[in-house]
Amino acid sequence: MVLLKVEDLSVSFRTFSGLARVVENVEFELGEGESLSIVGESGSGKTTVLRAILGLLPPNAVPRGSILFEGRDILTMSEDEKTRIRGSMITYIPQEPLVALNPFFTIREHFVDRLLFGSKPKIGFREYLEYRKKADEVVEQALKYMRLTRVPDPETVLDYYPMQLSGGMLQRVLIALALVSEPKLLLADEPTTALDVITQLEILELLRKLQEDLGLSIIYVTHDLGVAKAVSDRVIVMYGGHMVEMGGTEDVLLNPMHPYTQGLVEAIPKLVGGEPKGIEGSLPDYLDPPPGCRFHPRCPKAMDICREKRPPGFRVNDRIVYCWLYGDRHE
Amino acid sequence: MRFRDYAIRRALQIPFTLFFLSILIFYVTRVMPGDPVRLYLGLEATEKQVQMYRKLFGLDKPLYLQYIDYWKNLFLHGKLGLSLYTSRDVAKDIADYLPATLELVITAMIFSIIVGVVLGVVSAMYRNKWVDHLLRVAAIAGVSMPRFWVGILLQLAISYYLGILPISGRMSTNIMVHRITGFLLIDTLIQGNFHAFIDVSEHMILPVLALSFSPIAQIMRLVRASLLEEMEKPYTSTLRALGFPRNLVYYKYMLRNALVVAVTIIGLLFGFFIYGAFAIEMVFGWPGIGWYAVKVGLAKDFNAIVAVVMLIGLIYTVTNYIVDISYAYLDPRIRLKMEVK
Repeated sequence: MVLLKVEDLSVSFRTFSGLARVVENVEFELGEGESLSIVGESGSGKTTVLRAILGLLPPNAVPRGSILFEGRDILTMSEDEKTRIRGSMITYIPQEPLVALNPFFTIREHFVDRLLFGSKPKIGFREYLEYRKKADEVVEQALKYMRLTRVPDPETVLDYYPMQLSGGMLQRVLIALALVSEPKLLLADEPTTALDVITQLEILELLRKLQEDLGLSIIYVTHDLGVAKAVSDRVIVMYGGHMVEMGGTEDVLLNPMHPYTQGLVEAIPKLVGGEPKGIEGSLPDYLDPPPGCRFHPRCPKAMDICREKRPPGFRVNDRIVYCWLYGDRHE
Repeated sequence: MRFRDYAIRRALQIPFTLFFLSILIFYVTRVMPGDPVRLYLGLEATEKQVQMYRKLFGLDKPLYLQYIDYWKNLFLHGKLGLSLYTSRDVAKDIADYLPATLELVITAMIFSIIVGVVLGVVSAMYRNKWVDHLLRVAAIAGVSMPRFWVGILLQLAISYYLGILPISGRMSTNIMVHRITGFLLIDTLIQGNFHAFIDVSEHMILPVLALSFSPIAQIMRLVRASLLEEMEKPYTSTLRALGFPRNLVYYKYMLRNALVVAVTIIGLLFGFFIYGAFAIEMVFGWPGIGWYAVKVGLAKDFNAIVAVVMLIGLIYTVTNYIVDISYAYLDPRIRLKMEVK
């Protein structure tokens, strides 16, 4: 069953120097229990897509299109509805675990508030005091999820301040904090980038297992093809705010079709063989993006049509590639 | 290092600071141009009289002996030396004048913290809306206007033209209050004299307002700025992304952090209030330590000057100490780091 359907999503930002057209025409579907990675270099718009799904775009953002979660459009929801959905159905693991929680409050405080008030858009002072009496009751739920994410000795950790925990441990705590509301969709923004390699593997394994056990749908945003390969069924490759390729993760990585994806895969350092190759040039200027395909100034296989017309998504087997190499050039 | 050790070690610095301050101010008052004794005795005094009084004040001794005598006097007899201005012991003067200032300053401080924090929160919540713009313009006016001038404006508008509140003084002349603590608001309440309580409160309103205007603006701006800074922090977006109620994030998670920052300035403001009280007390004829300081300063009343400066030094160092300690206590990052080491 389709849980999330993103249709023709575009996000622009009003800036002092004009309108920055960052994300354009992103479209994909996510089924229940499915995992998807959005891969791209820094500034390719992947986090913007994620924040649009969370309904947390900055005030200067202008989104268009639609993001249907269980049939309801997040972009047209009121603030209150979005808060309610974030507190229950859609949840999020941040990028930098070390700064992701308020340093002045214990882990317990964060869990209790999330469990008691997680899906309320607003809370009155009296209501707050009244509910806080139930704090001890909900701690069990917190402990249950901390055990699930394999936080060692959760009873002690509960009374720690964030700064007393290591990055890996905090990430486990944060995953528990995200899952404690029993959500359907988990959005993970570079969940392992700030961690060392060993911890990274442990966290990814944990996420993979949780996904299977709880039937979660997960969207990972990452710049690391290795992470995408380890955790997701499908992958979307983004460049300059456009989707360039979408398909099964293994398939895309073993047999990349879009010249950008090919460049990315070639840039991975290998154990055997010489120096990895990079892609010449840098990301487009969003205030004045190149016409046609946004990758054409850097593309080794660019053709005339690439400079004029944007390539639509061409279906090749189970894959969608946004490149004229695979389409009818005269269309 | 444990938190308690830190508190004690930091406390030990206070006597040192005050010791150096005492040497400095003692020296300065003794080398000031002008002869305090001649100023005190007037033009007609004979040389013999001058010598006699010089001896009486101990001014004929070498400086270091005068200094030692000063401390002996303080520790053995609890005396701060004779005042040239009031002709009695300075300690008595201070006991008389200090409560008036403390009453004014503490009231003004409580008032400006409450109003400043509330306005800062309002300003941050409605940032870049008209409420915020209005408050920020008012805040600039608040920090720019000298407080004695604000005091005069208030006297002119509210007391002179409108005639609502008394123009100066601490209470009306027809009212008698038996002094117990020296804090008239408390004394009148203890004695159940509500008529006097109202009268004293009325006299306080204008000086408190004049004194609080600029601190309110400063606290407001600081709270606003640190709240906006908290908004940009990653934890705010995490909490929002996890569906925490908006006002819970604002008033619990963000405000707590912002207030810890504000504690620093609030502590410093206390010293600032005392010094601000100098001008306000002159304008409003408030018989406090600031008023006293101006009078004794003009009279070159060296014993009183030393005492007033030391007193203000003491208040400054102690409030700074409290700020440091509470800052370390309120921020778990500092507190825990201490316990780890």
